Amino acid sequence: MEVHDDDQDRLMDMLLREELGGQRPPQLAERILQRAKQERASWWRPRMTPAWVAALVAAAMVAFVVVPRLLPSKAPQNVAENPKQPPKQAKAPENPPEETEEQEEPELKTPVAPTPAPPVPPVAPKIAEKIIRSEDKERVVELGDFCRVTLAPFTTVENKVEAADSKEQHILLKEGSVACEVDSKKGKFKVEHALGTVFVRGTKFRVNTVKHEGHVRRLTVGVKEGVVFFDAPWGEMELEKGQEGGTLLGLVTSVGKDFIEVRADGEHDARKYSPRWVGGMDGKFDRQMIERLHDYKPGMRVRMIWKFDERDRVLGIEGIDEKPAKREGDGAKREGPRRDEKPDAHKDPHKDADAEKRKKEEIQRREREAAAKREALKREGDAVKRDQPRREEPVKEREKMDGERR
Amino acid sequence: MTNEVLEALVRTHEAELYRYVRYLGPISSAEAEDLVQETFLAAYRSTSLPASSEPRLMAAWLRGIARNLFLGHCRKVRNNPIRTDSASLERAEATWAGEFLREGDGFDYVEALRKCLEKVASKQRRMLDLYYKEGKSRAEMAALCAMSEDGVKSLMRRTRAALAECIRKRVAREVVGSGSRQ
Repeated sequence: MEVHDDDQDRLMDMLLREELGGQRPPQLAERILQRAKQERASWWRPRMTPAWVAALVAAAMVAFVVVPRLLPSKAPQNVAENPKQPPKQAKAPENPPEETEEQEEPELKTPVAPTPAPPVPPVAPKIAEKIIRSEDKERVVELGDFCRVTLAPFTTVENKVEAADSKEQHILLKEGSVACEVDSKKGKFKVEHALGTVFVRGTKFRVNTVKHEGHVRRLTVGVKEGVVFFDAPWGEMELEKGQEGGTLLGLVTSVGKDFIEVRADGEHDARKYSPRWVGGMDGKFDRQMIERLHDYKPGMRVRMIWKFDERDRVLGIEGIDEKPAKREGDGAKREGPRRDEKPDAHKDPHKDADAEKRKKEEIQRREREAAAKREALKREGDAVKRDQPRREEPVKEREKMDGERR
Repeated sequence: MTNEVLEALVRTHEAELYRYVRYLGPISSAEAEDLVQETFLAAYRSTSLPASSEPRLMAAWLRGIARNLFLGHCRKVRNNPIRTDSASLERAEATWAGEFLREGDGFDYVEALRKCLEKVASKQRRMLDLYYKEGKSRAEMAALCAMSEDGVKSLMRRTRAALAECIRKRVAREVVGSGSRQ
């Protein structure tokens, strides 16, 4: 396919703005769903007029009259074909065997199980489709007769193996979470992701991803049974039954004598990660890792591989040259001109950067002033309350009235 | 379309669609957000949904809606410097689907860009940082680097072309690598 230079240049420009300039795609879901809800409400209001209600009632009445007349019309035909058969039995296909044997048609003479079949459990379909996606509920798929993969709601995986019965299954987890049950004697299975690959030796495990600003930023693997091997470009580890670990991208918030504190993208709080403990009871932290941790300073972006072993442990860490990601929800505030303002498409977005910065500072200043004002009002209110005389009059009045009554 | 389906659709495609709209032309972030919102609402109102709910088909369908809305937006704005027509938008779509998405969601491409950025020569890297990180204008960059404005412009263009080439090679290598592993 021929790629036009201008289009190519525009594509690179857009991506560089995102990668270097931090102009990440905003999260618009709440806003769009709110608008959709409003639209839906406005659709229904004009339609539910009395005329519509009358039309609906009329349609229901017609259906009530016509449908019962149409339904029994099939029964006389069956009776004509098989006059011995009463109309009720002719309608029901699952008749008892002695009754079906009386019928003349050969296919109805085949023996039928005397008891009704038990309800069939939902069978996972054999998937050969490339992109497998669960919508708003869980979905179970079977791959190669030995992997049962349960996709959490809103999960997307790509099936990397075309043959449905292959003994080496491989999926690419794009977003969401999958729980896998694998019979490792029958075949090999691996879950791949941009942040690492999980190779399966055991049987049950779960892989979970966390998306932040349009990118998957955290991958967690929890093992229920057996052993899995986790491999990422910046470290590797083995996880046994009951263990949890993973990989993440985040911001270093502090570095201590023998720990590093990192706030993972998409999380509000930072977590402390210590190095591995080496040497048993008389051992100490992994000295090499401590030295490596001291190379990182607060404010640096890192990606690391971690494992929970009594506490969060860092097993591998690597710095990344990337603009710090915003906290969850920071992007919710809308920047730039509002919808009712005149659009200025001819403006260079770079020139707007200073104006936007000034606007942000102005908003922050206003917020500070408003907070100070609120504080002052609150203090005044407290002072007024203190200065007010205690309300003793009603008590005295009540005592006086009691005395008069007596 | 139910609200639940719309929500799933938005959460799956909003980031890609936002990038796509910004790729189509130099519009502000607020305009891009509005276009993305209008695209999803148009899809919500639409009575003719694609036959399959496969994400790739849905994404292509949403891009089609976004493209038409973008065209309408450009026509509405007076003295609009964005000269665009349906043919050039179709061409842009072909580049987007063939070059960026490559039967995926563009994640490989972005990852490859990160790797390629690490290999950019220091002078070019400084220019990229000045322009994209610090938001300097070409004139300011020219003054800082003792170059002409045209020189800055052509250097930036060459750097972007080199990055595109690096990404193309890297992605092709990864495709071959993953093919041979399988």
